[in-house]
Amino acid sequence: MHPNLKRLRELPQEQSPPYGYGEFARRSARRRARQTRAPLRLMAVALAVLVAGWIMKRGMAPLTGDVASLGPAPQQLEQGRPPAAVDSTATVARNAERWLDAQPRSAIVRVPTQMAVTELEDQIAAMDDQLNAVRLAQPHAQQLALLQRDREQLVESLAQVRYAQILVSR
Amino acid sequence: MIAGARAGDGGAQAQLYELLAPGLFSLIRRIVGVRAIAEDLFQDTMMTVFEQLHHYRAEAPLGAWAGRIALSRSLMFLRSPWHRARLSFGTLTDAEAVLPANDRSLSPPDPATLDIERALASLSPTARMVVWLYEVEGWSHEEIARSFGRKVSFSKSQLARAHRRLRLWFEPEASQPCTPT
Repeated sequence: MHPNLKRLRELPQEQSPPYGYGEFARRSARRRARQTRAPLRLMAVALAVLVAGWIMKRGMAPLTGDVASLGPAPQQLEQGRPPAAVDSTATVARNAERWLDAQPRSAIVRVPTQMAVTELEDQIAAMDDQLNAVRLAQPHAQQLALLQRDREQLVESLAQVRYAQILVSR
Repeated sequence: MIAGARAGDGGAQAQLYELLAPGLFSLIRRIVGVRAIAEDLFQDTMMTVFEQLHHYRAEAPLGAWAGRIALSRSLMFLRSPWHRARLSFGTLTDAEAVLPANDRSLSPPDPATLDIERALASLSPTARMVVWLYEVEGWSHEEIARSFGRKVSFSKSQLARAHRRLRLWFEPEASQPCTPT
């Protein structure tokens, strides 16, 4: 084995974690709450789907088009194009957000996926409110950066779910 | 402490977190590269550790047991279609992303460590995972192939390519064509 490969085993085994136990517990509680709220959201979305189905059956124009009208995933996704040279989570989030904006809404949706989409969109909206409030009050650079990072992660999660939705609908 | 954590004692869980988190986060970050993703997988891993703690039979050290969970989470991410899609929104091969330079690391990295971190970061996430599993964790090609849902040749070729790339990183002069004197 090359001596440098041997050094892989000697790399420091520990880096300080991104947050302490308090923050971990808070995030865990938030995730669990999201899972607990899921059945209620499921009912709400199921109701919305029923209403949409009823409207379409009555001969009215579909709410926003059908699944076939969903735009394709970005061309780059299809071609598996090699990544650009520079990356940051912010860049990924920005590009993901642009891609999300370009995707038309579908009238026909799978309830669990749509539920996840709605949940994430709500969270992003709430995060935007929070960011605005922090900017207006006491702009604390560190707090803003933390919120911004949380928002970027949410946008990426949303893009992930929407991408899955598109794959399934094809 | 483990018994307390299993019983849901917050203090014991906090102690366990302090004990496991640095190693697990370091492992995940080194494999997936991008900090934001590493944080997400780290959260998942720690939650799974606490949820599955009652399955821990002390047949292996707790750190190793939790490390398997971290590796499995990272593998799931690398195998997901989203991981491939995400490449088009940016890239996962950003060398800066895995470097601990901007972290609140426990100790500042020495130049040699930084160099090997950079070399590792220059690999694709999949190649990095294969190198890590084979060279550090001691997995066999069969185990690696199985975990990726691929054939043994996949693991062998990934490793061979990664070795070639790492050699070029450490010995760039070896890649220069010979010139007649």
